[in-house]
Amino acid sequence: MAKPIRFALIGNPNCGKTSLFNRLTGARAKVANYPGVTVERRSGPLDLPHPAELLDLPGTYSLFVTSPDEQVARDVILGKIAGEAKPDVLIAVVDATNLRLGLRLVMELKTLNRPMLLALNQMDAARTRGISINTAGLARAIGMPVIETVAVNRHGTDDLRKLLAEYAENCAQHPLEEGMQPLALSRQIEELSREESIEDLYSLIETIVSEQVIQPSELPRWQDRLDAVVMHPILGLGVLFSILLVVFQAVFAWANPLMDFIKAGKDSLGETVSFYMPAGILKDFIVQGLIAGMGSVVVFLPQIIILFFFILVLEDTGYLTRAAFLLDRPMRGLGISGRSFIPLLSSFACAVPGIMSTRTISDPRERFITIMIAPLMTCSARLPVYALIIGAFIPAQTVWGIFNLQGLTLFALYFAGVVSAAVVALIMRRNQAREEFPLLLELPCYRWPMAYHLFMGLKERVVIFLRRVGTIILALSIVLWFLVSFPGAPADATRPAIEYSLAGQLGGFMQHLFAPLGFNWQMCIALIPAMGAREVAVSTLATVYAVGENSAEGALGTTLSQAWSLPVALAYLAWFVYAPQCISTIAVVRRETNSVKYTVFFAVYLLVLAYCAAWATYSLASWLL
Amino acid sequence: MWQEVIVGLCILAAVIYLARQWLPILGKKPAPGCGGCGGCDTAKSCANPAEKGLH
Repeated sequence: MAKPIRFALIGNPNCGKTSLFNRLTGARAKVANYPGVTVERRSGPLDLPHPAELLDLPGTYSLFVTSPDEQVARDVILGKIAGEAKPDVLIAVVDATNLRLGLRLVMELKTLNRPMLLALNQMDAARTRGISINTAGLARAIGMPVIETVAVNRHGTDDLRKLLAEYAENCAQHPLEEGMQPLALSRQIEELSREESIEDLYSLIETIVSEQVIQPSELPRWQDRLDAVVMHPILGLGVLFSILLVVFQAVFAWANPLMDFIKAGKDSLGETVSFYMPAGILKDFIVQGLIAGMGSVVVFLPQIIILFFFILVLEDTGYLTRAAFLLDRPMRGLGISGRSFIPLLSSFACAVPGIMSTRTISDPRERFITIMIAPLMTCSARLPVYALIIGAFIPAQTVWGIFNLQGLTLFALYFAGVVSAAVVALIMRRNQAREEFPLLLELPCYRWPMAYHLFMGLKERVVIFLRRVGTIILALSIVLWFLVSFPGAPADATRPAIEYSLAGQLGGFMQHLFAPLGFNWQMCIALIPAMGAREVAVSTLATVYAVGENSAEGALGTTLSQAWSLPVALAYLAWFVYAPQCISTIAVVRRETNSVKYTVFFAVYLLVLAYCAAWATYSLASWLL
Repeated sequence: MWQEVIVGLCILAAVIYLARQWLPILGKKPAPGCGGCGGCDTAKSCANPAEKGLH
């Protein structure tokens, strides 16, 4: 069998490499790790007449590397990774809306004298912004074929695929030597194969861009005026704070009608099943286990959608990158930097990808601290727990004329996590010498959020959420129902039947440990399956109280407000702000730190923090209220 | 009797599912890019935007 030709995609972060990779390989990627590091190696087959493989390298701005990801990209190209052959052909992917930035890497790669071609990606976005590129002239100027691509478009990669087929055919017939381009091209820039100073390089890039690119001469003035406020060190922080306040207000204010609708549907389903099914274990299983368990979590879907809607809007408009830049200086005061902003922001959705994205942080100490504090960013899985308890105990009244008290409480919980993260970061970074890695960020132009992006983003979040409900939450709800239902009460029982169950006995034991926090056994039991998925705490409470009261009817919130005191509820919230997140988070910390010691430290310090915070909250609230 | 059988099978299936999720020796090895967020049935059906490209 002929040896497959190896193509490698290389380019700046966020230039569309992965989209291009998925389009060319049909998303048939094989994922592994490069030896000795946690950086993923992604490769996939290309459908060409000659066998070919495509490698998706980590994004890098330059061959002068500043992070583990960039190091791997460079080492693969140079053939320095053991067991990894050098790619035969390099495909440099450049964002057409920022050719100037992308060309730096291209020109550095050119000095390696390797077969190369340039994929000018996101051409649709470039045209929308009024940018016109003379691709034929650009190809002559840089001495390699240039192909326009639109990776998100079905037909946007046909030309690239044809060129790759030609390359593969030529490589198969005429094995390449170093320095040969497989297709005949002008050699006007042979001098570029020699080492150039950085100034000369940028001077050449400016010349090329000025000759081959026509673009709007300057940004619209309103963008400059907006940036003067948004990027101001004081006003900008005020804007950020205000935006977040609005987001959390909206999460409560806008979601109620839809939540009531879902709640009514769940209750109606429970009543219907109760009415038509004969009494017995199956009816109890369905009503008290499945409907109560899963239904109590599904009810919070509208709030999750609203939260992610705002995150997607802020991202799509170009604001989030500015927020990262704005927060760089205050974050440096805490021992981290603006580079940590995106991983920490991602952790508001889920800590797992947030922690994984710390691979872009160059400073190992900063990366470690970011991993340690990422779980303090309240993830979306905790939102149902917060919303349930806030809804049950905090009145829906207006404060200072415009703020909803429930929204303010939710904001306070998120804020507590952020402030705690700042304090922890400061303590961890104290007295550590640090190497300064300047923050390099590409600020996108402001733009209206694209409805298609918002729709697809929200759809993905809904799918993830419902999939979790239908898999892990369903499984945990079933197991939990079993634990709270068996064994049944003995004939001479004097206490409620549920207290004789496995869950009741375990909860009774745990209650001794959590007595200083005021937690009852039902609250203790909910903490265990919550380690699998945070929102299952809600399912657990719903199941426990449904089985205990022989009914899935009536709002869980109402039940809790009658069973718990306010100090206990506040302490429970404090626990969830600080406690280690789910098992998946602990597993990814283990993988990313590659250390059992650090993983144990991670779990223990968060448990201690959660216990102390819950105890302090319970004590203070009991004293004050 | 049949009710107990159905419920028992459901509980058993749930336990096996959870064991395969969390006990590496029982479950399929996930893709290295997977963080285990629970947004998928298989690596191919990953719907987590942050991890999708890694599967």
